[in-house]
Amino acid sequence: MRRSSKTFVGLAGLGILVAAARAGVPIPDAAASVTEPVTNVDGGPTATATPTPTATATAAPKPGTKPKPTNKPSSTKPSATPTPTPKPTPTPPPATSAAVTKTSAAINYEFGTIQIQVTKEAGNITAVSYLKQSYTRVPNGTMAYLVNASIQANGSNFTKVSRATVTTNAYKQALEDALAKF
Amino acid sequence: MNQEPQQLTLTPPNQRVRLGTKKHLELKRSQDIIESVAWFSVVLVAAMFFLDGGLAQFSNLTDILGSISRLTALVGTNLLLIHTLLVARVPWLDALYGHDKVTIAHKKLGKPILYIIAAHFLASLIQFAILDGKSLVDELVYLFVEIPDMWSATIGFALMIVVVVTSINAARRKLSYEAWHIIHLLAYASILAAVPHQFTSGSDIAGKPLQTLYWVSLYLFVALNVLWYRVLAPLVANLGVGLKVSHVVRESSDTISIYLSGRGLERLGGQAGQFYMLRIMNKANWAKPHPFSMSAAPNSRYVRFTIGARGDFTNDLVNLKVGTRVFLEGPYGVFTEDRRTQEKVTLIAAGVGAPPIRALAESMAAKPGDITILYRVRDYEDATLLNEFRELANERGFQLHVLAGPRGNAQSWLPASESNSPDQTRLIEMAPFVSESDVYICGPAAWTKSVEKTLHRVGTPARQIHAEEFAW
Repeated sequence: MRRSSKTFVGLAGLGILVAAARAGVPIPDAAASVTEPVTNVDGGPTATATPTPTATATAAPKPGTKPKPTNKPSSTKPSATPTPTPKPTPTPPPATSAAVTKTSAAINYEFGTIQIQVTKEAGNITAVSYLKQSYTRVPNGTMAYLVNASIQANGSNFTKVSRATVTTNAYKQALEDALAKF
Repeated sequence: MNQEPQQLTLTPPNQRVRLGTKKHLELKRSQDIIESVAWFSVVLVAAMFFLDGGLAQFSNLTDILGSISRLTALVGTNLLLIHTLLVARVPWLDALYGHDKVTIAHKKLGKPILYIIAAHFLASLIQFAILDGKSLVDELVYLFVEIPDMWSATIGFALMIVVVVTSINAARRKLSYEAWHIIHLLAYASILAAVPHQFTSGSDIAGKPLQTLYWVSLYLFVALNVLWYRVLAPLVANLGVGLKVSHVVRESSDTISIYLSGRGLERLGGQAGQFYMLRIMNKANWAKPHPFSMSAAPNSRYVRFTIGARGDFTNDLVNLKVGTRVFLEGPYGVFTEDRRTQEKVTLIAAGVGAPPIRALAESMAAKPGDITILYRVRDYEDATLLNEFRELANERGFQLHVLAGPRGNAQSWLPASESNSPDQTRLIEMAPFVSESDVYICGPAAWTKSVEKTLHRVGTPARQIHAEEFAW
């Protein structure tokens, strides 16, 4: 290749790589991680949509009523970076100090069933526990990783576990199902 | 041996040739485009990996190993497919670079690709061993037995090591060409064995339509090129033409010419200066292709190869029976008039390099005086095809200098002379237009280097110097 073409092609290639790398890694943005104060219109948490017998919410559920919260906690998904960004302390959210737990639907997938319980406090996921988990051949620590990752990411925006793609996807589906109920 | 004398009938030369430096520029441009496409294909797979968040999770060792494993797999596979394409003998690469350059590029890529694939193998093995809390050996066994398609990928990797190790120079010297070639064909098995795990276990293709499209098309493109140009096209051409040995003629003390005839020789489509891989279809030789240049311009009566009796194979050729079938693969090479940019041409041959120069002299478009031929030989008895060179020079009005005798000094490529003047002075005396002509050189590698050095001194631009080495 002629030297000029080599230089051009080389630089263009590097440029593409750098651009792709930057686009692929979300850059932490302080403003994006400020969660809106959650206002719970009807005060109490709503009952879980799934009629699973194991649906035990920590806050007292009101059986029968299923009013959708008109004002969903539209917490903008913070970036997947685990570093906690300093938050400009928002006006203390009035009704969010109480922990609220929701249960996901039981997700049947190729290798089993996953059902989880998600606890949120002040718009952030604070705990996830498995109600059902059956899986085959996933690397050790996968299930624990999924819990930690979703707490850190405060949502389902985290990278999957290698060799546990299907299980990760099923878990994310369960998580999103549970989150949709808040 | 069939000693039937052949009346020399010269094939009329080419009637037109495009000259001028623009041709050279266009060639360079096409080469740049091909190389850019190859380079960007590697950039593309890496970029898709980065876009996919390949660098996002670098928080712990297993994540880092996972990223290394994925990136090396993508880049390594992409390079491996380019590497395979380089030996598929595709005409569109051969025409741009010549068979020799393409083969050299293929050789250069081999080892780096093995290192990259080895990095992929180790990174993923260590990553999974950590995740599963197993020893490396246990993990390898586990992957081999339990994970779909991992067993074949592991075997493919082992084959690849064998292929590369047998191709490094030290090992290559100890192996016969045939043994090496059979081992080398395992490379195809190695690639095929590794394909499934990429699609079933890989994180970068499954469920990603764009990536799937890219990889499937790349695999198909390479596979079709290999299948067509390496296997089917030669088969079709040879079955159609049905080449057979028609004469074997002794040319000098240690060279013979083999004449092949067949139906519709024009279909072979070769140009003067090109070479074929020759397979003599008898019991001993059908699996051993050998490269030989045509020693006469392509014509409708015969294809001729003039061969020095030097190796085991060429010594056998003396006893070749008339009527033996011959398979040709090719034509290959860019040692042709296509590369000519100037009106004047200087043809320089030494010993075994005479055949393609002889064919070029016969076919090049020229006015009397346009072409100067320098023919370097040990002595006149050894000068194969000398009569034909003389007849050509007479008939077409070319200058012919036969340079016989031992060389003057270790650096010289010319025979000793009384004047003892340097090579460049003597070259200019013999070929006054050499600096403004296209120079075609064919001879032993070291001798060719020495000629090129002299040409550099007399000021012939590098783009006007054409030399080709046999490499396969």
